[in-house]
Amino acid sequence: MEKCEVTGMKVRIVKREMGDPAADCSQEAEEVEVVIYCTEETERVRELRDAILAKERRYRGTDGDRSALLDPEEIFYFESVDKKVFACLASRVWQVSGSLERLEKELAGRNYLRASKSVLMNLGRVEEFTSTMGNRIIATMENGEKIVISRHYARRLRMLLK
Amino acid sequence: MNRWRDRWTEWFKHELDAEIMACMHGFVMVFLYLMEKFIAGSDMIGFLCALEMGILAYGAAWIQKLLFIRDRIYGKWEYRLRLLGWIFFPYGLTVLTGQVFGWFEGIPHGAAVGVVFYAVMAAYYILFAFLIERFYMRESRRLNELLRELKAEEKKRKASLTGKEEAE
Repeated sequence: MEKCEVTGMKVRIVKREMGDPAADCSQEAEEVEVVIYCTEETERVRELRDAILAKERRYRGTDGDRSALLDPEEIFYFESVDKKVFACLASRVWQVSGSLERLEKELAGRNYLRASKSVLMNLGRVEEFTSTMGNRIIATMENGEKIVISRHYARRLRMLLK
Repeated sequence: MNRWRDRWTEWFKHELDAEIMACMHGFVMVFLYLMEKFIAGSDMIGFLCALEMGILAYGAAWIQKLLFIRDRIYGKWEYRLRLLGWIFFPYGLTVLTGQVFGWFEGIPHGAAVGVVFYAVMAAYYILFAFLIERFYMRESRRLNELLRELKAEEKKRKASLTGKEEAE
């Protein structure tokens, strides 16, 4: 069984033979629990489990004495400055732990794209793209901020959107 | 070590871009020059002249590259100024080089040939900039269409997960 550290949601994989009756779900569960029934625990089944857990993922942001649980869908982009990573929301910035590389891996498949060496942006929060000289793309976010997607990552964006 | 390798890779990519542009500029210059000379009654180009054009083309390509080399956001007017520089710095360099090295001296109707050459080169740089801008505009439009589709699919997917129907 895997458990989401932040929200406590559990996901477990139960092997059963074809024709076996499903487990009795009548008892009340104290926490949310997702059960995946399968005949064999394959890589695909594990991917599904990881995808469900990824949806539950939240990040703890700190701003001085204050802290908050941040939903990746609310975050506009992550930026790495002086070896610290900051999550930028519409009008607020929180510091989060971890590296951009780790965040990029955890948020793979959730519309997050590396815009440059120091920025990981949420495509779902982009208002508009503008392609410009120098083979760069400028992403205008919903709050008006602009992010430069450098030429190396612009290629990935084009591939991702197409 | 990684930092130096990244910088070297970055510089190498810029160099590659500049050389491709330089080939285009150089080819156009040499072809136009030869064609005009042929019309004027001569079909030879000296090696030195071709070399000067090649070096000029390389210099012009790097000037154009340097104008937009930084990964930063330019203001509207700054972008327009840089774009004008992208067109007119290489053109100015072309005229200067042609005059300094006397590309049109000693050829029949040299002055007329020179005027036509410089006029066509100006049109070339302007048209090139226009075509590149048009390409980027089209790409922007296409990327925004794809972005809208991506967001619409996300909305549909969320609506199906929550069991709510989105109103059209």
